[in-house]
Amino acid sequence: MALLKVEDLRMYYNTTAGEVKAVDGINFELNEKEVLGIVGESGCGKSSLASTLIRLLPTNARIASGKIVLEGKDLVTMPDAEIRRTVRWTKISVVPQGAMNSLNPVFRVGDQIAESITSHIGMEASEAKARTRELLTLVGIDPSRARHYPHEFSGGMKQRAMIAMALSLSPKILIADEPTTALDVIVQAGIVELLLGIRRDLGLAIVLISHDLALVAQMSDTVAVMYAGKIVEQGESKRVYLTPFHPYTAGLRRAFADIRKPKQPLVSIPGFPPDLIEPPPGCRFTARCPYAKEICRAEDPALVEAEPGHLVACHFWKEIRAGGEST
Amino acid sequence: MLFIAYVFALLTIAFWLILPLVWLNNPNTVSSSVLGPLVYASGWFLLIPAAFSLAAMVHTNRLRRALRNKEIGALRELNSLAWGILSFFLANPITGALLIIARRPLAQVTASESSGIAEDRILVVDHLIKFFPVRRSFSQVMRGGQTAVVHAIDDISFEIRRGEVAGLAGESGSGKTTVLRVALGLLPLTSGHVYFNGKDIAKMTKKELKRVRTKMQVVFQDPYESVNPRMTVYDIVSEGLFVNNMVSSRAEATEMVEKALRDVQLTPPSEYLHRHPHELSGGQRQRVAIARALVLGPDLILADEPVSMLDVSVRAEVMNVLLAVRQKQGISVVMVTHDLALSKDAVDELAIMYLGKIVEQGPAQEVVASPYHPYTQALVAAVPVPDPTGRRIQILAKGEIPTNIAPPPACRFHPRCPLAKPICSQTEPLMVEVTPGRQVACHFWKEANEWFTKSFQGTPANGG
Repeated sequence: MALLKVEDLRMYYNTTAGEVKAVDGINFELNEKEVLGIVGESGCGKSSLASTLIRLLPTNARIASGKIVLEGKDLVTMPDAEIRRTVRWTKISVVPQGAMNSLNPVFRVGDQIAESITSHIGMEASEAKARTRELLTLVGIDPSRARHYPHEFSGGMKQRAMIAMALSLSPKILIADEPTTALDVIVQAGIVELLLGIRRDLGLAIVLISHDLALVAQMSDTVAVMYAGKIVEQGESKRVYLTPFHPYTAGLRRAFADIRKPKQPLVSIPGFPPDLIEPPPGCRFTARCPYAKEICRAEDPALVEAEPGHLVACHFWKEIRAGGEST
Repeated sequence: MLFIAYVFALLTIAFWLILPLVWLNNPNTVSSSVLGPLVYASGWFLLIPAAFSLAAMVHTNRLRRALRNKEIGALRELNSLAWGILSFFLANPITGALLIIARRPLAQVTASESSGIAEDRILVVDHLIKFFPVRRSFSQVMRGGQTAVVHAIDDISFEIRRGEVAGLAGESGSGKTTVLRVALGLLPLTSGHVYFNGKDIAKMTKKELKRVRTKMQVVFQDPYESVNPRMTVYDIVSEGLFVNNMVSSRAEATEMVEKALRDVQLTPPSEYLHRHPHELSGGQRQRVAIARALVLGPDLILADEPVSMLDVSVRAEVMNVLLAVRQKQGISVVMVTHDLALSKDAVDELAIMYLGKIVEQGPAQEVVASPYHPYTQALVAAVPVPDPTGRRIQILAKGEIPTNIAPPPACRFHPRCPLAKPICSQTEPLMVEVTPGRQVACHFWKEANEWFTKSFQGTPANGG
């Protein structure tokens, strides 16, 4: 049975320019110990999705419809107090984007981690301290460094501290939003190793949100490709990468340089994402799609099962069969 | 010696201060004519500065000695103090003349021999060193001792040919961005030379440097911060033309701007001229930044991570524009990046930097496919591939990048190197050309390369 089930989730921001449909009809399931990668570029709604899942939305945002079912309970309709007590940080936690920069510079790192524990559950300060040391060891930081300030930590260590903070109440699901952006490549490898190790040792399920296709390929079991607020392709990682059916997925894969291959010409996807206030009526990728036809402009394709467990939202996935190792 | 010079100067001041008191007590020893006070007044402008010039000369001697012996740690301190004193009395003609005589030897130290630079080398960096002094707290200054120094760039040399695209790759703290700043003349170098088009930029006059800067342009990393949000595209691209007096009319400027916009594939240009940055996407903004650099007709473009802040699907667009100008106009490009996979596809020559030193250099595809230096290997092994069935990333370098204030002795990488032997912490490996076109600074490059190609999955050398 799925640990987390998201059904037709829609989240909109109310802005002076209009209503931004940031998350517009997302469906997916997350099982125990599964790593789900959500891949997409800036503005596709993936970070909005992360904050919606944990019900941490700004005042001008609202969940327009849909369900987030965790252990049989719907988080969308749950009162905020209950979520704060029983769900947030205890069942699901988030390492937000740029988390390492949100450590308070005037407090010691250890105190900040302990604070995340004591503010959610009533734990004795000394107990919280011990737990903090445990957590720091878990993420590969010498526990004696709990008394250091954030500026004494390197970027990679700050990120590890944030992961420790997220794990402090032993959640079942960890949502990591761009956990390695702005980190050096070797430090990034360390964070990847850490997250995979945590999944293995603690039995966590991880939702990995990133624009880095290669990173998601390394870490995830299943992947969902987001574009303009919708999922355009999802399925088992191996299948989606080996035979992408959606032109966007194929284009994205081609745009990523592969360090193993000899010199290749650089390819990009022309154009840019559509306006999310007045999204086009049909398929949102039409303007940039090399295979677009009239029906694409008119009708928004639904997700269909192209092969078992592999869904795609494209009218012409059969004809295109954009995939394989060729660029 | 310095101490004595200052004591002498202070004694001279004291003497000259006490003198009037003596005169006042004995009015008949000095005539009441105007000569007396005149002589006295001039003493302030002659004797005191002369005393200080002694101190300054001692400073410059120290400076010269420091440069010669490469006591670079104390350099900046001495330099600023010496110049402070020197400027005090350059206002005085007599002592000013004394100083010009004293200064010339100083100039000789930093002057170089005639640069025998080959014609096709647009940028030559020769044993460049750039150190930044670490700010000291008051108590640290009181305690004395040497100022700690950030070894941002520690003796690097490379050459860029005309029409070449070169990459400088490295992680944070490697000094790669500092190299760009020093090459542009934005930061003074500590020692070494930077030759642009055969001329040493440190010896250029301000006027020459200004002219040279039109030939050497920059593209910055953040397209959201490097273009003024209140200016239109036309304003942004044409600004350099007006500042450098390269055009005499708006019409001329518009023509050149439109050409530049066409070069960066923002067509039709008339559609973009009146737009503001917020009406453009990130990729378009970055292309405007490139157009801004191109419009001045440079020979060299220095790009600091030009695409790292853009979405992946847009990067190629911007990179291809940059590479196209190399093709069409023979402009060289030096690109600083941390993305090795991109470097492999975009760049001709690649240099890998670590803690202020270049550890490996060579054709980009070769360096990435078959790296010689263990650090390059660690970088390559840590880059994920966009294929779930492909090789897993591996961490070949343990630990984190150490501080470049007190970098590890001899080979900087030895504390993290899987192949380190005792010699690595004792003798610094020099940069040598190990195969034609490939240079590496490692004692065990051969063993490292053999081990890597044999055991590491996924390099083209063993079939990926």
